[in-house]
Amino acid sequence: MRDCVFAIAGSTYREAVRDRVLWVVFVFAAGLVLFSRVLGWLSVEDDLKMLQDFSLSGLNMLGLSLAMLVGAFSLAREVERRTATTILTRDISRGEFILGKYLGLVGVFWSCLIAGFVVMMTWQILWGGGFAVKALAALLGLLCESLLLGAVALFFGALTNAILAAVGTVVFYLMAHSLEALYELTIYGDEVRGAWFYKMAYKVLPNLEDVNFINATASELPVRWDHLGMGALGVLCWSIVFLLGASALFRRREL
Amino acid sequence: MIRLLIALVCIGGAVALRGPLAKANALRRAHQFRYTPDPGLVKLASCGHRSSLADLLWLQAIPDLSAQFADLEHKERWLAGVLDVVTDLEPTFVTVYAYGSAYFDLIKGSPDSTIALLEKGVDRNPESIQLRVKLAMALMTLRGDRAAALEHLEWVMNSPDCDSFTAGYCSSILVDDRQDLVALEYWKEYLDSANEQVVGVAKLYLERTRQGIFMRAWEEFQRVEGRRPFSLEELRDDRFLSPAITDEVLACAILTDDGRLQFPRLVEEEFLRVQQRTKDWCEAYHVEHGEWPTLYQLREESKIPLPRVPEGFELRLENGQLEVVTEGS
Repeated sequence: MRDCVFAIAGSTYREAVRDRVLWVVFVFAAGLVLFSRVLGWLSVEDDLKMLQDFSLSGLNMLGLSLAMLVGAFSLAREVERRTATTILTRDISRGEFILGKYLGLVGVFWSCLIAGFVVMMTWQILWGGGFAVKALAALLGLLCESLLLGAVALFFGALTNAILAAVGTVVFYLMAHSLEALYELTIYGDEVRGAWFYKMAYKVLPNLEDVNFINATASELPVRWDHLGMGALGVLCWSIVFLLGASALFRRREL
Repeated sequence: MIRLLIALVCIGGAVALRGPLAKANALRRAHQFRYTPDPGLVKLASCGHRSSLADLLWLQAIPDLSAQFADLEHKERWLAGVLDVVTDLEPTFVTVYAYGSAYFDLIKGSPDSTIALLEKGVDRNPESIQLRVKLAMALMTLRGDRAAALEHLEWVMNSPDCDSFTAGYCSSILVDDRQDLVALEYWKEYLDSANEQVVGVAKLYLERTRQGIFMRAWEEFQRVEGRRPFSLEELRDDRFLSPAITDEVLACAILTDDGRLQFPRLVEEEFLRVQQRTKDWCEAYHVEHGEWPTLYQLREESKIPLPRVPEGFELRLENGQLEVVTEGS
């Protein structure tokens, strides 16, 4: 990989870190982690379970918010400020530009998620909980999810304007998290209209539940690391597909 | 100007709507409106946050378990629905099964719902000792189904995490069910354990089981003969005790000259158990406070039930060691 890709990744990372939106989103997620203790107090026995559940859900929402507010706006900002035109006049292809942006965004997402996880674990240990290896599975799942959401945000960013890209990223998130439940409706429930469609969608569309280990972490379910590995591989494949799509769309775009 | 007018009209409209809306809200409050969601759709709407959604629904349901509703039928429908949804969203949420079954049993008084919820819990969490014990208790007390209760209790007894209370409960059912030998053998198996505490607990429960068998035989004798036995030997009868355990069971009791029953070995084992618990508690106290507790502090601060001592004797606590000594010694 050429140095220019890393240079773009680095500048994307620095630019995102300077963005106030990122800090607002991060503080909101950290606040949710801290607030989860209050919900724990309201429960009867499962205070630490509630803390873990809501904290991990908060981190998941952090990943989505970052993809939506930082990822989807990232490309549009470059085009709007004409910095993309300046960069692309040099010896760098549009595909490399997209890849650089993507790596920078993933770096930002991962830094925020890991920082949020550290806040969560510190908070949990402060309230008498221990560090469970299972929680790492949830974190790894969140990192994988942000890998795909970053690629999707860039894809929509290359396809349309920033607002629509953000909306598209949210719709993708909702769809990719609902596939499992839709499939479940068709196999356990009564006759569902359009069941064949849900079954087909389950097979051919990206499923973010493959890397969702939040439920397994907080409950007593065992973590299957091989499932996480397979899920991560699937997410990686889809990320490459969306990146290629983003690259193809960006190549056709007039700057 | 027109824009300002439109804004004013809109504000006026919103304020005018406040009245009817307040009435509608009051109506909902009066009816204690609760939305009971469909499990399938909730899963769909949860978007991967099943645990958190289950937590939220459960937090909403907790105060309603004991709350007074104007419409009782509505309360029952809501709680049955929400318990179903929460356990579908998170099948491993053991607390919900435990508290939900307590609601069905104690507040609603519905044995079938209690057992159905616990069966769902055990079906989805077959390794949960807590749920198995609760189900066994429900089956035994609400349905009188000894066989089904024993099936779950025996599973628990084979688990290394089985507590002495559950094992005691199981052996009492076995005794009631005239499976005396099994009940006794269960505790004897632990007498060879390398763990001293396990041996102590097993000795205590073995004596309690013997006493339970003895008392059952004693009561059956009274029922059949219409009088109290004059001597323990009168219980040596197939109708009351199986020959395989007669000697062992009769040896646990003494019938005094004035006709009182005593169980000296059980009293001794119970005292040893109290001594052990006292020692553990005192050691923890010593670590925390840097001094040994007095007998008064033991009585007031620990929850250990201290035994009654016969006249002329008293309890003494010295360096965590509890003893019975003659008064004034």
